[in-house]
Amino acid sequence: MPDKKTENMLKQSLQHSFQKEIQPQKLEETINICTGIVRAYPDMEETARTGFWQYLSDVFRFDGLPILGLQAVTLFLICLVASPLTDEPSILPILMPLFVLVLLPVLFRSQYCGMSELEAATRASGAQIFLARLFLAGGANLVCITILLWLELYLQGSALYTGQLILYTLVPYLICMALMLRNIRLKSSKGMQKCALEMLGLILCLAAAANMAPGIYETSAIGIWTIAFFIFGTFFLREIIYILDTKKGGKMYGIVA
Amino acid sequence: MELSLDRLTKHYGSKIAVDQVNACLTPGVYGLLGANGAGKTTLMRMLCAIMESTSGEVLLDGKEVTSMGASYRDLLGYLPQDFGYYPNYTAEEFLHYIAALKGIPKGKARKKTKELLHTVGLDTVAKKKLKTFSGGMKQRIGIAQALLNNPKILILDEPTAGLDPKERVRFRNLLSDYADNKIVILSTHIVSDIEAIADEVFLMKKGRFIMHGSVPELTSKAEGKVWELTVPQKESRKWQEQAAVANLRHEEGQVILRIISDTKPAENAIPCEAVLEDLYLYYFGMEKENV
Repeated sequence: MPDKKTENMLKQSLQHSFQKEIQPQKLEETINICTGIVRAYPDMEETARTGFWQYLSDVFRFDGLPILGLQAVTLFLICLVASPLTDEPSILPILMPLFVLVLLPVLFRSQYCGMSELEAATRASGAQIFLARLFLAGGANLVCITILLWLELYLQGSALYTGQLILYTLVPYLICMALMLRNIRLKSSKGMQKCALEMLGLILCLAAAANMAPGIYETSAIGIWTIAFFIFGTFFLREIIYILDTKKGGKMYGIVA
Repeated sequence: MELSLDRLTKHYGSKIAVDQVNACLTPGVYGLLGANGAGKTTLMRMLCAIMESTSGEVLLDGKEVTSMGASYRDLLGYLPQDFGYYPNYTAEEFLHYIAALKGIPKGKARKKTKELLHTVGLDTVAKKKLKTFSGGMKQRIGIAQALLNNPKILILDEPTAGLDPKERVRFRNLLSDYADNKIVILSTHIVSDIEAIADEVFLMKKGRFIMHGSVPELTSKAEGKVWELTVPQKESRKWQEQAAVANLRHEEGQVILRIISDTKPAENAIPCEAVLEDLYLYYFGMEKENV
């Protein structure tokens, strides 16, 4: 960093290079340009920052293990529960919220550890940090859901109901994600607990629906699931667009302080 | 570099936390002094662009800081008043994590982490988990994380809280070394810290700057209002109840009181030289804590 001393040395050196006919205005301009360059160069070196992919890899370094670990354990438990009941299509939707439920401690970590304020004042900002965690969590979710579907289809020994099974898994998943993101956007206090309660409530509702209205798992009810997929998919997308806009606009996302 | 506060205001419902604050900050160390609830933390959060103002704006070289986004936060180092931590991180991991959030390349982050851990005296416990740290150690790691990106604007909310006297001196020296050509804003209740470090002090009360200036300028405003009075021990309590007593000490069976008063409190009172603490007590001392 060029300090006053360096700047003065530069000025003196420039002044001494001209022995005669110094045009004070031009000399001042030259000095300004030179000091500007000298000032800017170390700044450029200091402010060299990592790009998005490096940032994502850094987030993975710190949050990747808990996210992947929890997803793997959940997948294992769901497989244990669901595998003996492959002829019961209602079991998958009931268990799907668990994938999101186990992510809550990671996604709300900043808030309950009191790090939100500190993190929000960094280059990444709260929205980018959350987005990166969501990106990793969503990726892990998709991998797990794919494995689960593949296993289900393998056990059924038929790919006839692939579309239905995709809807049965994705609709509850999208409901959970949309609810969670809505809670964060509305800055709900005790957001994590609220999300957990909502997801447990959804599990109970789906279980009750499976008992009281088993017809919704008939092939003829596929339209209802498709409509639900588009509705909750839209809600989910709206929340993602909101986070992206927040990040772009440099605004705060979720509870900061 | 110039950081300007232009009629900065923050309301929480009907409560006004920060009220039409104006200031122009150029490189130097600025101390923010005020009682609890004076609006210091709210002001600092708005300066960090992590809290939106109700009206008014914060400008860096004429640009509104919230619209600058990451380019503003790149210049910023912030230590919040009450900050948490991830208990399972070691001190080193914590700084690496914050460095990643600040976008500092890995190699540079490692070098800077090592350097800062040494500077704040935590190099020997770099591999220990934060949950085992004392309050003072956590505060030091907080100071270190604020300095990771060599910020041009450093905002420290109660940085010396929890530090022992030796650590406070170390912190003052660190800040003096660091502050050259940067804007450093710190708030603290510890008047002596501000007195030792700040080039300019802002006195904040009910969300407004009621006074600002250098320490000598401010203390000169308390000149003629500070008195020393020697009283018998039995009268000490009476004086403490009826006057603003900044200090008292026992000497040869008598009590020597340092009294802040516009008028001479007693015939035998002797005028004495004012310090910043006297000014603070003059403006805040006679009020209840929740000013």
